Amino acid sequence: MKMRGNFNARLASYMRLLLGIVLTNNFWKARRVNVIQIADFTGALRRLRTVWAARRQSWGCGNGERWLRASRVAGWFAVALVPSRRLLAEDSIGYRYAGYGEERGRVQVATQGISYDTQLNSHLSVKGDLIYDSISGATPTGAPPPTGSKEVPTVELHDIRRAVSVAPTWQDGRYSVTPQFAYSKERDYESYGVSLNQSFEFNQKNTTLNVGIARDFDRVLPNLPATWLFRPASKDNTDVLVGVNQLLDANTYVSLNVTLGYSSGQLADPYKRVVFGDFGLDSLFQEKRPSHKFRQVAEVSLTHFFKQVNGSSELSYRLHHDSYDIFSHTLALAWHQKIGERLILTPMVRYYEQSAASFYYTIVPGNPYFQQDPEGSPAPDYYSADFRLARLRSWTYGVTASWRITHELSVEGGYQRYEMQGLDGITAASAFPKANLITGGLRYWF
Amino acid sequence: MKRLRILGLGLIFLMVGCSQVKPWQRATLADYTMRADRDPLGDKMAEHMWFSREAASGGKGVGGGGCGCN
Repeated sequence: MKMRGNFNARLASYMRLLLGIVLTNNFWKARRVNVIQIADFTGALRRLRTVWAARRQSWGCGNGERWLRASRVAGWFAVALVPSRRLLAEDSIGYRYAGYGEERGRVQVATQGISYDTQLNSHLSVKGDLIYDSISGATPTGAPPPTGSKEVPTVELHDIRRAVSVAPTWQDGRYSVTPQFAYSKERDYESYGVSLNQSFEFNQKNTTLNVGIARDFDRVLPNLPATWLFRPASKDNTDVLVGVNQLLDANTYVSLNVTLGYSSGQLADPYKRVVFGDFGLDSLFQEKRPSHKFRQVAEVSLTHFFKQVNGSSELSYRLHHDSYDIFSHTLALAWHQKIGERLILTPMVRYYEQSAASFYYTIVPGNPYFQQDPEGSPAPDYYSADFRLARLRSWTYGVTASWRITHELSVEGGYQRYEMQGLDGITAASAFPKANLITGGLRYWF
Repeated sequence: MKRLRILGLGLIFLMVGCSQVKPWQRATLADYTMRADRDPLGDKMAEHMWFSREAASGGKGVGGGGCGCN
């Protein structure tokens, strides 16, 4: 009986795949549709067959099992003759708004984005996005609070960031390749990014190997008088990634990614200043960081579906180290709870902790002019008072709700709280931001 | 080099040792909540918030261009 059951399950799977190919004229889309959406109407078919078989029995028409089989075949063909919008609904366009606001008049960012994802033919699909950021508010200069105050000095900033990216994917059998082109422009920054990601499925498609390389050609632009940069400076970044996705069972998969990154050029932040111990708090100097940075990142995530409660969890851990001597740990957990057919609630929590950069100081020791004026002691080779290089931790927690209004349209909204806290006991607490993030958006499938 | 070989062999044994999930057993894996690509724009915006405030970044993928925020 068990073998018969397996045979029937396999036959049903192939029939569903065939049906998907007929409806979509696309094997790969059909394969996705097969497992994603056809499962929805197999339950309805099963109920229909049960009712039909019971009716045949009650009518005295003989063997119910035979009619059950016949009705199954009839059901498949009946559905095949009625094209369903749901089966074709993979292409989408979405809009998203995010309002990020730090407390005490610090950085405010209003982000609007449009994303699209469309299948052009059986091999080629394209996805991408357009993003518009409006940035305002104030950011710490790096100087400590003046005497008698707990508030760190800040500098005003206003900027607009426009970004676009496009990523066509070519899929051929178990191999896919995705080149991506990205461009963004701000008043004080410009970035050209290219990347190439490839994936290979093997081990009966239980394992996927991902390999990617990305290169950014950026320019830091002057924004006087807020910045101390007088002419454009280049800043380049290269990332290489190797990752594996592995199915563990019918409800679980694990992902492991290792990334190596190398940045060079203008890595110092032109908005950031420092003060030196040999001078007063009112004398601000530009920060000085190494012109090269090498970083290593490893991330592992485990995703599991709990059938008993109709929800899934996503647990991830990231380890980061770079040549600034910063170690960081990131632990995140998200829960996706399906409520009925249309609503998904996603509460999440994320914990982040990092050590300080080797050249982080609240007040830099020494004299930056030691060579010309050998009073006091020499300054270190590199120095920065950017709070983002301090020893710190942050918590992010919140919830997002996604409601599928119709088969073609969904809306969502969410709230997240972000709280950062210094751990060195030296950096002023007011340097570390606390922020609220409100998101909203909609997506249309066609 | 020896450690790398041991790590590689360990990964291969892990993959082979996992139970094979057949195509017709993947309905749950294809559920919307299980898909890593269900909300790329939302993920990108969230990563941007963390990337601009913290020293670490990346891990899930590469590409997307740079930003003056960090």
